[in-house]
Amino acid sequence: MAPGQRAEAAAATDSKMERYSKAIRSLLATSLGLPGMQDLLAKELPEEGADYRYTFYDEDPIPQNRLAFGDPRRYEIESHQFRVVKNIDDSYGLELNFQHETMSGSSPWYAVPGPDGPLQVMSGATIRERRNQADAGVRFLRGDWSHHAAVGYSSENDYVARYGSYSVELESADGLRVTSWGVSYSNDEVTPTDAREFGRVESADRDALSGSLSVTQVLSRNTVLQGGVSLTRQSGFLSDPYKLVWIGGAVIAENRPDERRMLTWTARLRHFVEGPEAALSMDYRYFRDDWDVAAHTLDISWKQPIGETWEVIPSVRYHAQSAPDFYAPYFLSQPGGIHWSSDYRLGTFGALSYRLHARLKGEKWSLSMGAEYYDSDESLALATPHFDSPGLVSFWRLSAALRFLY
Amino acid sequence: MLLMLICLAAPVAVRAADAPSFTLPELETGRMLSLEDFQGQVVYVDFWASWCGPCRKSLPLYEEMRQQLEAKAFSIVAINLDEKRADAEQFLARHPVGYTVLLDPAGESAAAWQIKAMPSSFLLDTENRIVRSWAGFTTDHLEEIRSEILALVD
Amino acid sequence: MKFSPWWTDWRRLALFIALFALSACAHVEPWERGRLAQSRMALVEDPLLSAMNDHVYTAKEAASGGTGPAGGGCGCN
Repeated sequence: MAPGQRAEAAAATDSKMERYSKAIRSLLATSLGLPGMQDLLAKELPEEGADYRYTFYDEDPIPQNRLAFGDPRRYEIESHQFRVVKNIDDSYGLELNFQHETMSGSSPWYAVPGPDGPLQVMSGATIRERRNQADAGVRFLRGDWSHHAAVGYSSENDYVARYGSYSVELESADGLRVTSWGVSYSNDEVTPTDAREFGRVESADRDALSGSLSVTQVLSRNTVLQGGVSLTRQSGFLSDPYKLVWIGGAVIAENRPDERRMLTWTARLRHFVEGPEAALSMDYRYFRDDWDVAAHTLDISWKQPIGETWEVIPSVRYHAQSAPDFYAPYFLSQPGGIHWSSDYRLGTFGALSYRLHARLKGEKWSLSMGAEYYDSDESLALATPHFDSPGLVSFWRLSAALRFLY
Repeated sequence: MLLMLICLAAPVAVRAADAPSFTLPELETGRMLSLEDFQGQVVYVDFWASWCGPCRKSLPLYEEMRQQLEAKAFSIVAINLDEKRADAEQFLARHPVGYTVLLDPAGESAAAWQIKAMPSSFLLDTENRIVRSWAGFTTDHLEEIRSEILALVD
Repeated sequence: MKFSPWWTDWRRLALFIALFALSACAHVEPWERGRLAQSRMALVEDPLLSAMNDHVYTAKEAASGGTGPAGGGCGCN
């Protein structure tokens, strides 16, 4: 007798069996969960806990042979981040983030022609600034769907950003695939200091609207892969009000286009390596926009547990970008177009960053320490740089973080 | 898309009323135990692993239930599916339980019972027939489980 | 190079679809997902660190995005 027939026959004579076949139907109809994979895939709320992270960020001074004039000491930032995750019940969760930063140092203004290539002019006075950022999010689960909505606010004395996002994730019946859609919006307001004195714009707005799609797929018991695409449109005042341009001896404000459309393709891989029981993580992003910037970014890390309580994580990141056609460190004559910028961050360059983190894990807490050295240079570029960008930055970043789970 | 449909079209076997048997070592003693050893009792079989989020909730609640129903002809048999025994031991050191824990690192019993979610649990009558099953765990399940058990043991 | 939206980026789109079509037959039983459930296998293991990384790199590079919903900008210079 086939099992199905047997179940039917039994159900006719035994009321318990009737309940049983109903149980099988309900079991088969139950959405098949993937508990435990809190961050990897949806379906379960993230673990409750509280986090604190301290970061000290210190840019190397600009070398004397690349400096025209100004203060060579660059930015130094101290940052405190807090995060709390609290679940109301099995399907509702809240998260709160807060960040406080203090910044000081001088920043690159523009470059001038020198005997052996461009020389950087730095802002003279030391800038001192504070930034506060807060955001709150809610996550709720409904069947195979997981929703996330968040709003946030960031404020500096010359910059305010208000932003919001909504995303939804759908888990497949076998629990091996999650598809995610998201939108986010930001409205930023720039009010530069000393606007009149330096002829800067007094107040300006910019908006950004972004949409994204990603698919996360379990490939094997050791491997998971996420592919994603995102589109962003920025509009409004997209220039940096403090950045200047040297054009044939005159120094004027930079002028970027007032619209920018950006595209990213991303691939993220997580692979469990059986021998050392380590996790290999690889994130790749391809970026391009209608300013003609194209960029490749690859971030690889190795998470190696040592014994029951320690973990060591070396990682390396490589980024290479090509410049838009309105970028040059300086212009000997009036450029052909109506846009110009000498912000070194738009130049053609490559950057390498090396990081090492160590983490000590207890039952309900973890402590981690990390260091990074980041260096950007024209010689690391993939495209051929047409110019030297004397403002290219290198920095150290040191951090310490504490996590409590409740 | 076509590939996806082919993959999803695999036939789903309907479970027989008789619970598939197993013979597995007990965590604490290493003694081999079979489902037949529990014949004559109402048995609640729970498949779990230390990495499974809801299991952190369910195991302590099952232990509470075991203590309340100690006098009855009722047993909980938990089948641990961790790859490494140490993970199960570490979990149980934090959430100690008084019921039987069997080890199945290869997951053969889970395959035989065709479990579709972690955790999964089954209620068996005194003849080792499956009366009801649950995929996943939420705190709402617990009252259901308890009333089903009481209906069988009384 | 003129900007063309992603749906005309056929090569990458085809790669993307092929990758996920091939992986649709992957089968991992529910009890075989213990390694994937480890926190170090998460796409974002430490949200504060990821947020700080995005903040730092976005402030110093021309590219941004692709790491989940973006926050607002900053006056970083």
